[in-house]
Amino acid sequence: MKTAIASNGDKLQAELGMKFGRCSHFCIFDSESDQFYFASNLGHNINGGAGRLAVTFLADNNIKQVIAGEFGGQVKQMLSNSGIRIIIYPPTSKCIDDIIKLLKQ
Amino acid sequence: MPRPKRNRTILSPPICKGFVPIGNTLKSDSGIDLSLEEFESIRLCDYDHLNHAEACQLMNVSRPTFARIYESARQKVATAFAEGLPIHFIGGKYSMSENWWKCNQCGSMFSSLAGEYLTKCVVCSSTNISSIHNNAANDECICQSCGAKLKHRHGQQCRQLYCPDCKQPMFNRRNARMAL
Repeated sequence: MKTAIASNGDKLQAELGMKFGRCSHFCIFDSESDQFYFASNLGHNINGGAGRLAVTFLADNNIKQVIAGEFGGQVKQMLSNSGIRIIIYPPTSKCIDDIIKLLKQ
Repeated sequence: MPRPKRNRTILSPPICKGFVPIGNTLKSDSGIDLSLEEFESIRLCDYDHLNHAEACQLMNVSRPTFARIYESARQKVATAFAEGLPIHFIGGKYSMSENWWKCNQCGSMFSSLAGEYLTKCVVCSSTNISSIHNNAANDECICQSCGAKLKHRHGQQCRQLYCPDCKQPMFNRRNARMAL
């Protein structure tokens, strides 16, 4: 199963992205092959519709769950309509590496 | 500013996008837009045979509001039938019914996908999770004498089911707790 993690950078030491639509990168972790890669978020700096862009990106890449600190109301509805599980992670100073370790357990 | 509309809970989206009449030449832009809450009201009342009082609780609205939604749904369906117009299921003020869970170990909150019953945290795999709110999607029917559980089917009354082991009538989870 593929999991997207919102992140504030393209390194493993980057912090977890607090805003789903506005994070700079998504770390995509595949639990079957234990592989991960970073993809840049298209809606990082645009004026409007960032959430919608991100949801389409996730749905196109066949991602089943997404972790971020915060999701908007519209995005929640779009994600549940496209069958993507929403995981709201509490605001901590955890980096992407810690979360991948948790997911691997 | 008027009071904002409450979100109507719908259990699952319709399986098709709408209906078209047979043997009628259509103008491309004609049609009736049936909102998803109106679709859900017809499904609850006429397909699942619930009364308005039961159906309004599932949709999280008051009974008079449910009656208004249902009335408008019937009017739209009747117009479509009488005038031979296609029906599109589109729009509305609704939210999908979904269960939310909280992990007491890592503190994350997550939603379950349609029809899924979670037993462990999706992030840290701990079994110490609790449901944030329960709704009809993951309800269970319980036998009071032996405690057996069956998955509740939406639209079916629990007491019409019988326990597979002791042949006693089943109870809704909420009612069973009061009786025990």
